[in-house]
Amino acid sequence: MGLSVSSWFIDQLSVRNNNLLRKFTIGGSDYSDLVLQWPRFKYKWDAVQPISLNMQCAAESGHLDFFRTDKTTLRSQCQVSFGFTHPTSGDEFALLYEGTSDKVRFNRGACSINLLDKMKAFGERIVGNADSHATWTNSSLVSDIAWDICTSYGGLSDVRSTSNPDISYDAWLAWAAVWSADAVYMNADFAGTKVNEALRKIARMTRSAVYNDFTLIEFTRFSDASSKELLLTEDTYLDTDLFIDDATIINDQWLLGAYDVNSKDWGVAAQAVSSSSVGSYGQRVDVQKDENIWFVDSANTVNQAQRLIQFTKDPADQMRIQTTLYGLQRSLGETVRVNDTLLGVSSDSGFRLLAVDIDLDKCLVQMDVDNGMLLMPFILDDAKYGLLDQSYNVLL
Amino acid sequence: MTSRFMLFSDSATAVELYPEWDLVDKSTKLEALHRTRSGRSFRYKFGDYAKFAFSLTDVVSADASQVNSWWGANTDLLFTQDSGTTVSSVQLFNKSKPMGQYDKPYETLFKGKIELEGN
Repeated sequence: MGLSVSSWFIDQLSVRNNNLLRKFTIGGSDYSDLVLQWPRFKYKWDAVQPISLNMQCAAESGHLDFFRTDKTTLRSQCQVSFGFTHPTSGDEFALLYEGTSDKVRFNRGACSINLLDKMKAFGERIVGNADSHATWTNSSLVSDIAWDICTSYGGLSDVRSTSNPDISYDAWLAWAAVWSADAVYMNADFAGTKVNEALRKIARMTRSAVYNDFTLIEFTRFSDASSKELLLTEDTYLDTDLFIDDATIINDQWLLGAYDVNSKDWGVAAQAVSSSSVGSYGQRVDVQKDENIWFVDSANTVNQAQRLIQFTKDPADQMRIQTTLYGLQRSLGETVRVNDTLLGVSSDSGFRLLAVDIDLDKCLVQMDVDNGMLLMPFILDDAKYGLLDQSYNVLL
Repeated sequence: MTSRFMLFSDSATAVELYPEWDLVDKSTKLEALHRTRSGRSFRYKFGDYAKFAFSLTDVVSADASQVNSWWGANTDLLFTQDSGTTVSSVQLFNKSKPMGQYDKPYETLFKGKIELEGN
């Protein structure tokens, strides 16, 4: 989903010389002038955990004394934004972080305010318990299981519309449609698992992204490259690193399904092998099973095992790219194309944006991208995905 | 010695200053500057603040005392050149007392360094 801003705002991210506004609010009141150091924080595609952030503020003026004099303000809703001034319509801000203050420290005239986002509750609440298991036994869509865990157990809003203040409803609907279209069903049995761990298990079993996208919880299953692209060249990035890690290769994937909670037996043991990868790198076996959540039948389990291996059979190019705020034009899951003559990386190959590390003090953005997380479609008459030669507008 | 400058906290409390020629306007811009791999610059400006530094000599004890008093209380001040139109909102940012030294051989006159910064 990304930043909720106008197209004019997105254009400003490309401007190389700009006046930047930064805003910090506590309970809706603006305390930006008190900020001594703006925070650094990171959003990751698979981090089902709260993002903690520390605001360093000047307290000499006494404007933050309300934390001491009225303890009920300790848990205040706080927001961190940045923005630009539009020539005619005034200031426009993009919300980068929303959380609740939970710890305040006064020291020698400064005040350090610790914030935690809405995933904090996920680490404090549990799904089911030993006496009363939380179960899904009727072949549910995993999206419905995740929804129940977030709302009934995690305490998030269960409003089923785009006005849900906690969950990106559009993203959840699109994610649900993937499972529904493929008729993929799962069962689950939790007996005291923390909510964040339960969601992590769902993400791992389905290879889905579950993350906090600035303000809303997003669910996505990465497949084809997103059409929302950002091209980074030597004119727009500050530095690049490229990693290739042999440890990421899995070419013999086992996935166990149809678990019987009573007998503790697995009814399905699906295997997917990439013989070409085995030939190149040797056999790399991985067995994935989870007694808390599993695919219900053979077709679903085999399908998922084959899907997993598509991502892992070859070592991926992983890049860490340092940019300015220019990099915030795209959000997690979207496509980044990189042109780096030094590394020999051309813009033909796409990468999926998997993590964004924002340093609002220095105005730096670090992007973690991975080309193994894209399943590139083949489109015959397309220059990027197929065989179209744009020079002559003919197929090669 | 330069022309006359004024430093005042309100219309009733002002000190006339005649800075030495070492007066520097070091007004500072707050910005993040980055260079891309190809050398292009990305600059984000957040703000700026006034910053002046200069020496004073032959300051009468009443004025020296007033300046030291402002320094001790972190008083909000206005600083302007007598013939100028720009008025800067400042405070005395000296680490130690600004007018703390006799101007030899006079025991009624003082000298020192003034460091003003926007507040």
